[in-house]
Amino acid sequence: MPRHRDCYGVIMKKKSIVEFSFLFPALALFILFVLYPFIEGIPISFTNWDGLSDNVKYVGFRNYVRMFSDRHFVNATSNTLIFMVIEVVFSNLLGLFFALLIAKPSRSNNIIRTMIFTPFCLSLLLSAYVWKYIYSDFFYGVLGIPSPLGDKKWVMAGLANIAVWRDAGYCMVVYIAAIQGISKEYYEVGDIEGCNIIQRFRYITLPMIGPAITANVTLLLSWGMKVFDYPMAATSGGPGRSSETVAMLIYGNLFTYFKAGYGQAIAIVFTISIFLLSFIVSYNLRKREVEL
Amino acid sequence: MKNKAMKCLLLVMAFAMLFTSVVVAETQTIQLMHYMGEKTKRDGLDALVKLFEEQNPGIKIEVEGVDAATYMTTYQTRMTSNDEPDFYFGKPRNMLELVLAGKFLDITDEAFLDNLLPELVEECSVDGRVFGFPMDAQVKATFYNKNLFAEHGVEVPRTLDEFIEVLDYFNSKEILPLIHGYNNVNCVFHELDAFLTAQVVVENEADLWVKAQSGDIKLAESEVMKEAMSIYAKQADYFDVGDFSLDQPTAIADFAAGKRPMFTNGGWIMGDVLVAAPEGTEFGMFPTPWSNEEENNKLWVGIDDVFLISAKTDKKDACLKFLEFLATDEAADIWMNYSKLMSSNVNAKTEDKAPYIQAIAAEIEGGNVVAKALVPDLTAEYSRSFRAMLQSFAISADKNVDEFLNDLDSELEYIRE
Repeated sequence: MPRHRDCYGVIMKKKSIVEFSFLFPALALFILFVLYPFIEGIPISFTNWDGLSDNVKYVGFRNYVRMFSDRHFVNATSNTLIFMVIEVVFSNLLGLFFALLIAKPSRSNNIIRTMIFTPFCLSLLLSAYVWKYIYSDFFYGVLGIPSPLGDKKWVMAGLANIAVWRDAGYCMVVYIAAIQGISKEYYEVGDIEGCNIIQRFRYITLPMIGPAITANVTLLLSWGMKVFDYPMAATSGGPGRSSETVAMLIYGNLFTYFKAGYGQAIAIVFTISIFLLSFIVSYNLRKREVEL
Repeated sequence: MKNKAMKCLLLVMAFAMLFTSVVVAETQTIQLMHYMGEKTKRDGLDALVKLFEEQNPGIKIEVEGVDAATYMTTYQTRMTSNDEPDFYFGKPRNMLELVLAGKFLDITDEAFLDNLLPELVEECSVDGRVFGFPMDAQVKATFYNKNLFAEHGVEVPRTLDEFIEVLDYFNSKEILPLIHGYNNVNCVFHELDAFLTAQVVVENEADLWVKAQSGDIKLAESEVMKEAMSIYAKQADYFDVGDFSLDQPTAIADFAAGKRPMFTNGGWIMGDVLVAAPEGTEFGMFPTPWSNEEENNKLWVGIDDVFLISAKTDKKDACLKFLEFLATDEAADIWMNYSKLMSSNVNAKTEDKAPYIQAIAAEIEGGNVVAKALVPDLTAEYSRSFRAMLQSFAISADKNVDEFLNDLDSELEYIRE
């Protein structure tokens, strides 16, 4: 019996090594291109380096302390959070709505799915340019509605709308896959119990697509927090600084303002914040998922 | 016999290799990086490169275009990775940190600089040393549609009151007089800079920005600045809500199409304006007025397209030869024909050029110009913040000048700290 146990242990160990070997290429790339540069950047964040010269002075935690009283950082964080919340909420709601409507496989549904998913295939920059002209030429030119990109109050909503237009199709695809994976038996039981359409959704569909919700919300949360391309292409952070995001502020400090040390400090805090936020949201959503 | 043939063959091959290596060694390839956005300029550069290569068979120029919005990032990345081009592009004073870090070649003593307008050469210098070669005598001014002016019998304004009259006239005819590309922070700034530069020079406050940046003066206490912002606010009041999201390319297209009669901006827009304009449309130019004394309304003249040689280049002679070529009258003519800009060459012939170029030449000849070199701008974060605030001011409903200047002072102080 002990011998049998030893054999089992060896087999399991081998299995683990094989499984890890599949993970290794991705892990190596992650360490090389993400983790290593991130760690390399930490010492820079404690300096006043301008990004060019050899003169580097250690400034301790000054960059980190300054960040939290920097009104540009506070403004950029607020803009980023507004964008992220709109994107996460509306992309998921719209994606789920479309998925519920067209989850059933049919030729017409396949065509509609393709149409809704198509914007996701466009680059972020192209999407921004397309909407810039839709807002100015169609919304204002035809309908007489001023472009939100020229309005300080509405600019973040206008930019988030571009992201929703692009990412709702992606959410829809994930939700369709999840909905199609739900066994019909649950719905049959629901019908016998006399569930109406809202109850079917509330007590069967929603709990069963929990993992898909977790995946979509977490992913879109990190996309929303990292937003750079849309405001860069559509508004350059304007009007004024009303659409400047944290990623843009980091970029500005690193390259335009010659404050690489400070920019690096913001980048580090920002990266850790995204990691923590994603982890907390993902952890809480997972706890609510239905165990099958 | 076989041995002899083999030896002959080897000898021939050796000669061939030697010859090839000599030819290869003689052909130098220069890498030129630029961020010219306008097609007319890029075509002009291509034509110049082609002619230069024909005249100098041993030198080849590889042109690489980069994004204007991110050129500094590209430059810094190339510099830190030791993958530098031989030629950079940009205004030396806008890249002060790179100039001071010794990244560009000092060309102060080159004779070909004598062919260029001294005001432009001065603007390419830092601490008395010249680092750039300016291609054109760029202007910031108010460009106007000559056909629309003629159709309405409107005379070209030379004073502030006349300018306001023209604005009011078109407005009364339900034609918005000025086009504002307010989506672009630079368009917002050019509208102010087009007259403020002349104003601060005439009022002996040329170092206004330098002093404001260092905290030596408060802009809110500057009468010149208050007056300038009031004029700016007046011009910005002739607007359409759509202007708040209007980008520069659309503004150019609308101006070319005759949707509005005037556009205050830099001369670099005119190449694209001419390409987009219907046949027969002519465009003129006048210095943007800020004063009722005509002689005070001087034309802003400065650099725009500037080439800089990398300090690390190992093809210094070939690079200097290219700049020498660019300083010739022939090169100036080619550049003007393609780019639709006024050349930096003092001998440039303008008789057969577009009316606005002739107008620029007339202002230069008449000495009614003010060199941008005299008025250094805000730099880096100060400049970004100022332009962003100016954009907010331009689109705000109540353009409160005092409040704006106080906020600007506070912002500059905040950045300094």
